[in-house]
Amino acid sequence: MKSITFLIIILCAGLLMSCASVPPIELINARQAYQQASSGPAAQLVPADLHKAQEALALAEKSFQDDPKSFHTRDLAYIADRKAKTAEALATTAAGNAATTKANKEYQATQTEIVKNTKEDLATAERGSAIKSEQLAVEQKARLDAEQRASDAQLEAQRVKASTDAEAMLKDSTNAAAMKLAEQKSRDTLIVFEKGKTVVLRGINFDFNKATLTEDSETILWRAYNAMAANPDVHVVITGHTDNVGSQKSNQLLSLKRAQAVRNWLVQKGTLSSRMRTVGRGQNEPVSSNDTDEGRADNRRIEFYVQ
Amino acid sequence: MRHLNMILPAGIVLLTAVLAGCGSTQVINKDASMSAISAAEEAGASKVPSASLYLQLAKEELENAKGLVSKGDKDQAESMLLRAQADAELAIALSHGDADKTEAAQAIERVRQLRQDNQIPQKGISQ
Repeated sequence: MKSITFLIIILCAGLLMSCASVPPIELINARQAYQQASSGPAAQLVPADLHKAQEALALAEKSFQDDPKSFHTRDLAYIADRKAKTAEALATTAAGNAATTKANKEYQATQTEIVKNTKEDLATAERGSAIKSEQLAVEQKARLDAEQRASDAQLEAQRVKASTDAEAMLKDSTNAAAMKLAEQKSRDTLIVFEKGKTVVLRGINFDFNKATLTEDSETILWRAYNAMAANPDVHVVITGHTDNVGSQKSNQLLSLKRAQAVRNWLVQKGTLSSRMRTVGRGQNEPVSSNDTDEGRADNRRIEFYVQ
Repeated sequence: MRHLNMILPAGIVLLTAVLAGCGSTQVINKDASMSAISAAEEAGASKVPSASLYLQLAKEELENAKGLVSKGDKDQAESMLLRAQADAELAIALSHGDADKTEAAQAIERVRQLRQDNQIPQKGISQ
């Protein structure tokens, strides 16, 4: 009976002791809060605040050991819980500040990088622009040089042409003057008419196979005119001759027509037609060989026979 | 009469001591708790959801402490004030943490936007 009573007493004491060792909810929360805070960044970022939480928890634990059910124990545990949470919140704040600082540094670094890249891009663009400008300048210079060369060449060509033209004009002028002088001289050279003699006038030319006088024949004709004018009493027989090219009959007629053409020219200039008679001899009286050009030219002639 | 003359001052002193003793039980230091609550309000704790709860608790605990003082329970009142101070300080920390977290997020976003606008590859940015 005694042993049963002792056992009951022991059991009750154990129950009482187990009830007394059950921590209040505030202390449980405080332990968990501190465990969470100490395992996070608070230990590194806010060690002082975490230490305060640890001290508060230690006070709560001691109070729990001394007087588990007192309001002091609950309040101390409550305060320890809040301090642990505060340490965790401060750690979060510190982490946020660190992140802000890091982000601001990155922002500045990024801005620096952008400025650097912009400067490099600008420098590259400027180099490209300079090269392009240089190329454009070279091209423009080449174009201007080409234009200048073309202009110079054109001016030179014009100058040469002008010079050539001037020389040609001078030459023509000189030739014309010389010819005119020669013509005048030739024209002024008097043909001497002697009665019973025949004067051969070479250089009186006609169009091929025609009786049309060429312009260069006039010089000779003027001489004939002057001779006729100088000897107003003289009568002449104008005789035409041809080479042997063509038929006899046609040459006969052609020589007559050419003699008539000469007489007509003289009449137009003022010589009396009655002083002139025309005859055509054709190819019958050659003075040279008809086998050569020169000979045939000699044979094509006009003769003035002075009566 | 002579005893009366001796007893009267002693009674006055005793009464004064009793009154003083009763008065001292009513005087507790609420300044720390009230200052912490004011600081939490200034930090904008009422606008931060996670902090507003602890601010409210601190205020309630302050009122409880006043009630305990009026009941003459000085020890529990002081303990309650410590609770109020702890809650108010937690509200302050959470308020600052929220603001700083927002500021950090904004700073990181500025960096990300700057890199995106300038076509610069993003680095590993973490809060």
